[in-house]
Amino acid sequence: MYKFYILLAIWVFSNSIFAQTLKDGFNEEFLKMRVKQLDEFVKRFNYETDIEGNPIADRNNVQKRKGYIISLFDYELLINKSNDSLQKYNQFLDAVANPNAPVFLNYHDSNWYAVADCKVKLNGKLTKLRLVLQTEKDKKQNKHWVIRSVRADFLSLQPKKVDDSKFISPVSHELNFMDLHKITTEERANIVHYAPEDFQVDERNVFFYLIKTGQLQIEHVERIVYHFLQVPGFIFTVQHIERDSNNVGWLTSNLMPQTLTQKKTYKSSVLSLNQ
Amino acid sequence: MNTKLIFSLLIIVLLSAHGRVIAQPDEEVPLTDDDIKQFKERAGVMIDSFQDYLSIIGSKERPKEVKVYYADETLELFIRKGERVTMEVSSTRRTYPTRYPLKTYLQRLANLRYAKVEIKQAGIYHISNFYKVGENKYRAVASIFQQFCGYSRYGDRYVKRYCDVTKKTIEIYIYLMETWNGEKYWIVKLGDISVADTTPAY
Repeated sequence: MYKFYILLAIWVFSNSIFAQTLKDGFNEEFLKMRVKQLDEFVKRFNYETDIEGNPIADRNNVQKRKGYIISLFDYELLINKSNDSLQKYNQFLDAVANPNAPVFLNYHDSNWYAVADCKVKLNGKLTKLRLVLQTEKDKKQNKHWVIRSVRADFLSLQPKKVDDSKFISPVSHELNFMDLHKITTEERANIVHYAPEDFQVDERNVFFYLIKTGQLQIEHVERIVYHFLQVPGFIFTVQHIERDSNNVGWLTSNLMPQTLTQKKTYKSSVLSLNQ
Repeated sequence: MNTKLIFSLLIIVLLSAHGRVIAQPDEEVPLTDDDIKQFKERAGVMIDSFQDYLSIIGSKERPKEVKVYYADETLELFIRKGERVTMEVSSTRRTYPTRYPLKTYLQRLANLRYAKVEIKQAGIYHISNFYKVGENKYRAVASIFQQFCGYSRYGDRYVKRYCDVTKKTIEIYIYLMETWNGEKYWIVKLGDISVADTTPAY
C-alpha cells in the first residue's frame, strides 16, 4: 500500500519529473511545488493548504493526507529502496494520519527544535558553533525563538584530563588563600577542578559571556535542520534541499523510528538539551 | 521665541488635520481572519512596489532626482523608514550573501554599472502565519522569487551581462496605531530581507 502513496506523491509533485531549477526562471508550476518556507511545509504536512496555498476543505481525507506527507520527503530516501526499508515510512504515515488521533504540527509545540550550524568569529578567527533553538510563548501569548543549547569545542570548560591533584589546599585559608593567584594564572585550563563536585557547566553561560564581551560574533548561519519529535514512535528532520528536481525546498531529510527512551537520549546527545 | 511657538502650533494643527498617529493603543485588539487576509494583500502590494522601485533605482538611464525620489519611497515601505533594516545580497559568484544596511544597499544599487537593470518577481509567493510578538504587534515572512538582470548598452542594443534568480524572504511587521481622536488602524511595514538559493538565469 505504501508504494501506492509514493507513486501518488510522485504524480502529485512531478507532473513533469524533468529536471528544473531556478535557472529556468519563473516556471510558476515549478515554484508552486517547491516548499518555499517551513510554514508551508507544516501547512502541507497538516493538510491545511494545497500546493497553491488554498485552504483544503476535506481535511479528514486520510489517503490524500498521506499522499501529501510522502510528497514532503526527499525522494532520495524513497526511490530504489527495498520494501523492508520502506516499511517505516508506511508506519510513519499511519502514526501521523491515524483517524482516531491524527498528529498535526504546531508552531507552539514544545518538542521541535531548530539546529543552526553557524560560522562564528572568536577573537577575530573563524570557527564553528552549533545552536539549538526552540519556540517559546510568554504569559501574554507573544512568540519568539530562544537559545536552548549551544555547542562548540571552545566553549567547553572541562580540562582534557581529570587530575585529582588539582584542588585548593585544605589549609589554604591559613595562607590567606594565596594559591588562588596560581590557580587563575598557571592552572587556568583546569579551573573547573576547583568547583564543587556537582558543578554543572552550562555552555550557554560561556557563550553569552563571550558575546557580551565582544569576543564572539556569529557571522552567518550555514545550515539549519529542524528536528520534530511530536509523532509517537518517530523523530524526523526537515532541511532545505536545492537540486535539479521538482522535489526541492524544505523537505523531510531523515526519518528515525524512536521509542520514548530513545527520544530522551536523542534530546541529550544530538540536541544537547541537558544544558 | 514667537517663531518657535508659531512653528510648534503649526505642527500640532497639521498633525490634527491629517489625523496622524500619536500613540500605540494600550488595550489588546484581536486580529480577525479578514484582517490577516488584508495584511497579506497589503504586504503583497508593498513587495510589488518595492521590486518596481528597485528597477528604477538600479537603472543608469533614470535621472538622479528620480532615483532619489524612489529611494525615499522605498524607505517608506520599511519599518523605521529603513533604519536598522538589513538587506542580504547574493551573487552566483559568491558563496555567502553579503549584508548591507538598506540605505547603503539602495546607494550601491543606484551606482551599479549596468545601463539597465530588470528586477522581476514571480507571481508565486508564500506568506507565513502571523505570530504575535507584543501587544498589537505581529510578525510574518513572505518568500518571493526575484529575477535580477543587468544589461550593458551598445548603441541601440542592450546586452545581458548578468542574470540570476534568487529566493528572498522578507520580514513583515504589523502593528496597531491610534490617531489623536482614538481611531485605531493597522500598519504593515517590511523589515529585514534574507536571501537564499541564488542560481544563474539565462
